[in-house]
Amino acid sequence: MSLLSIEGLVTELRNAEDRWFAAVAGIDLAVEPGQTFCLVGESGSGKSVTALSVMGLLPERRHRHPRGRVVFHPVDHPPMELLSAEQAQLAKVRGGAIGMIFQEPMTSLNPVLTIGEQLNEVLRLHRPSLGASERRERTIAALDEVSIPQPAERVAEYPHRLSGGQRQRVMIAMALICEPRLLIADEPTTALDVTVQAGILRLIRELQERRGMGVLFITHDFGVVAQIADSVGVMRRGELVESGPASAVLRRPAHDYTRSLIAALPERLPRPPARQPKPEPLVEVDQLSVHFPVRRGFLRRVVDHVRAVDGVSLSVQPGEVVALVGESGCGKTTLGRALLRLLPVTAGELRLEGRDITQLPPRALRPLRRRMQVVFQDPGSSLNPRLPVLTTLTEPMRVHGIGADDKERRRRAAELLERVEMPADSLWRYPHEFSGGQRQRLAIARALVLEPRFVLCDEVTSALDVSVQAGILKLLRRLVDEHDLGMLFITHNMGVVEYLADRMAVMRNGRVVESGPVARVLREPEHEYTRTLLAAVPRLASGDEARG
Amino acid sequence: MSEPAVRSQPLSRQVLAAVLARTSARLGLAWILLLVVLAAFAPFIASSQPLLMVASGELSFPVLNYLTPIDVLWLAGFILAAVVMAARLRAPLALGLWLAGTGLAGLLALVLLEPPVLTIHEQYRERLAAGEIDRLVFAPIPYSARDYLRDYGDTGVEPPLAADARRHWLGTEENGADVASRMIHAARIALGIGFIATGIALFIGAIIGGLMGYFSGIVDIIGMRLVEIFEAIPTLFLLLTFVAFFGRSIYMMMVIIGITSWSGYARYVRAEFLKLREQDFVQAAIAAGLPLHSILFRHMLPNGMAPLLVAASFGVASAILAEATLSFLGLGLVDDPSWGQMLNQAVQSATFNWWLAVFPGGAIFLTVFAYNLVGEALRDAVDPHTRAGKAR
Repeated sequence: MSLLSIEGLVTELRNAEDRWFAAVAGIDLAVEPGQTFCLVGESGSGKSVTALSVMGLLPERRHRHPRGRVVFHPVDHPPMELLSAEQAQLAKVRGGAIGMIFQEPMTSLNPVLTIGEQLNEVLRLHRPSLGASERRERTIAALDEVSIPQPAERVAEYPHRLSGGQRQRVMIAMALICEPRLLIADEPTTALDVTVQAGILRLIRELQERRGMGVLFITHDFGVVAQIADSVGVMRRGELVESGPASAVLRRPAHDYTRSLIAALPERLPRPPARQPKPEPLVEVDQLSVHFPVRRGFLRRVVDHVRAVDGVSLSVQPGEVVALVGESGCGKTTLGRALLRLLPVTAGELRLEGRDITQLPPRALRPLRRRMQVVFQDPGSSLNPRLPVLTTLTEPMRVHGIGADDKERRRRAAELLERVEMPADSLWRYPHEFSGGQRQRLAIARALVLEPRFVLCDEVTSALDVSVQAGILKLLRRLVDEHDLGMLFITHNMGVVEYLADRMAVMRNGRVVESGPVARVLREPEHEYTRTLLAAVPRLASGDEARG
Repeated sequence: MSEPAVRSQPLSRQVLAAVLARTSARLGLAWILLLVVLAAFAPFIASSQPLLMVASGELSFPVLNYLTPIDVLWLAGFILAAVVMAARLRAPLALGLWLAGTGLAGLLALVLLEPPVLTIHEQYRERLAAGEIDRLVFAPIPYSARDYLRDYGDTGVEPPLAADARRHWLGTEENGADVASRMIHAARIALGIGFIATGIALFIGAIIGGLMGYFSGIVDIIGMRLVEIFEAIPTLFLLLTFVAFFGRSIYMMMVIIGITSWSGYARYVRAEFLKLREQDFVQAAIAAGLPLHSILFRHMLPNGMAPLLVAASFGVASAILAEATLSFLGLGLVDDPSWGQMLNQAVQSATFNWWLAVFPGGAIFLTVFAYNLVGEALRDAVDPHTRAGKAR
């Protein structure tokens, strides 16, 4: 008998218009003790709803289960049907025999309680027989188990003193403190840097082997699946299109959808032949520094500086994509914004087509702005929600005197929409009517409207599903090649770098530690940090498969 | 290229729909609309001058001869607002057209209209009694706000429907004027002071707050000190002082309430702008080299407007209350009708005149309540955490 078996589960949710729709449309899966079942799929495929259904955590009166059974059957307990269980019984199982970890480590812990108190509370609820000193011992042991340094001192810390990775470790400790038989992890590493992610994945693996618990692991990342899964289920629109042992599904996917998902991974996209970039540099950054003052005290005196960017040099040539990679907080976004003069530069020099623009006053800079444009990360906030697409696209043209009249500008805007593969009637729509990928295309169109020579892309695909990301990446590469653009592409995704970039620079703590052609840096990294970073990237083993 | 048949809904329309979906907000808006209609058409609803007169075979419309520039301004404002709304123009354009049209109509009226300096309210009643007039059509309430019924001799405070010869639905006040008529004319003052005082405050607050939020740094520090200074001024006492020194003027009151209450709006706009400045679309607008006025007023202000509107609807209510308080204290307008002043009369004479307390008091209560209902519905509609906000 499996530890957790889901049989024909259907979960219907009620949307804002009071209509029921099936978020999970009849899936069957089984989690065995000591094994990891990975549920993968794109956003909206119903993988999180499945996990919440099992835990009974969906909002009351807004969900229902017309069909299906979820049976939880640990070895020394009678089987239990979770969908029909009483709330009181469920509450006993949740956090006790079933542990759960969520995606967002920053908000999963209560900020006004110390981590010790929060762990203690779980024990008090589920192990009422333990005394206070025993509970404290267990708490410290649990923190030790998830490799929090100096656990005896750290129990008295508040969550804000811990980093994101440490908070996720505390969440794991909390899920595991009552020694659950089943762990449900919903994208537990998505918000974390790759090196931190590697540590967390290793930890989950180790704890699982030591305890023999079953894990239901939800992710969208095939690299993570390859690292951790024993069995895999691929979900699309509430249905499980394919499931089976991880090695079989990943190596020889049977279903078209699985195949298309794996083919859409950026490192597997067929790369167009690299062209020789023109030698004259388009954008040059020379020993650039951006420091933010730290002010303290009554008179707000400057006591120190945060060196967000500290003496970085790089250059971008027309027709090439330079990737800037690094983990969160390394200063890559700050560098990008300073490069566009959106942030003041502390020291160093910026040259655009040979002209020094470092200290150019705003008025003199304005006509040059059209030469360099930007596309941002968050598709939700990158377009003005109050303006229709037409206005967003034509206003910059009018300001810079592109196009003779409004008619001409409207024609240009329509042309651009076609070039970014958007329907022509998008012009009269508002941003909220588009999906994330479509909005990113619109943001690209807005950047291209001014016919720039240089485009900065700041994590433009990191909020998107892998198949959508593939479309955007292909578009960007085509635009760079067709228009001889220079592009600085900020990302943390090595697969994207591999597909898109010609050269790359690795940043850490405000400095560039290594730079060079992508093929060389990825294959023979010279710097220690680059090696660590590359080793931490979860990858789908590709040795036995022909690369496109 | 032709425009497609389906145009999508801008956010403002969706917010409006979410507000209108609430019964309480609909009731509040209905009451405010009723007040606006009464205020705009006051001369045709309550006036001693007949709407239509046939005397010695000649047809005339005496009420039109007595229209003042203010009457024309209200009428023009109302009709233009209806026209502009029916035309479904974009909000900034509609507002501009309305302001320009109403202002022009007011100016024209000021130049062209010459209402009689001396108004003899009772003349038509007397001429009718003398048989000089063949036919008269009076307004539904045939008494002007300042018609003290001198022809009826010794009139004073009378409860509703007390006199035999006259019909006063809501009684009369201490000078003998009809309470219903005075209340209808007083609606103008209540609405006017609410809108103009809040308009002034919004204008100053949006500009100062916007500059503070966008530039931050030293501008922000100076601006915040200015906000704190203005927050320390007690509006009511400043009003009292000004009334004592410079006499009573409704316009002065509007301006003083306006320039002492902008600080709250400035705080709101500042906070919104601080947040918006970091938004990607604003950064993209800067990167596109758009001019400052476009970034501030096209890309930032419309997105930071929602909390401002909510605060404004509460601000209108408090401006109305301030005027009512002042009038109640006997420092309001001298001869012009006002709800607060009627409340004052309710407690001034030896007996308690309930109709002078209940009707104007009820009107003040309902108006303030209505603005609060609308404000609350607006707040929920623009708040993405509530369901009404989420539905969009």
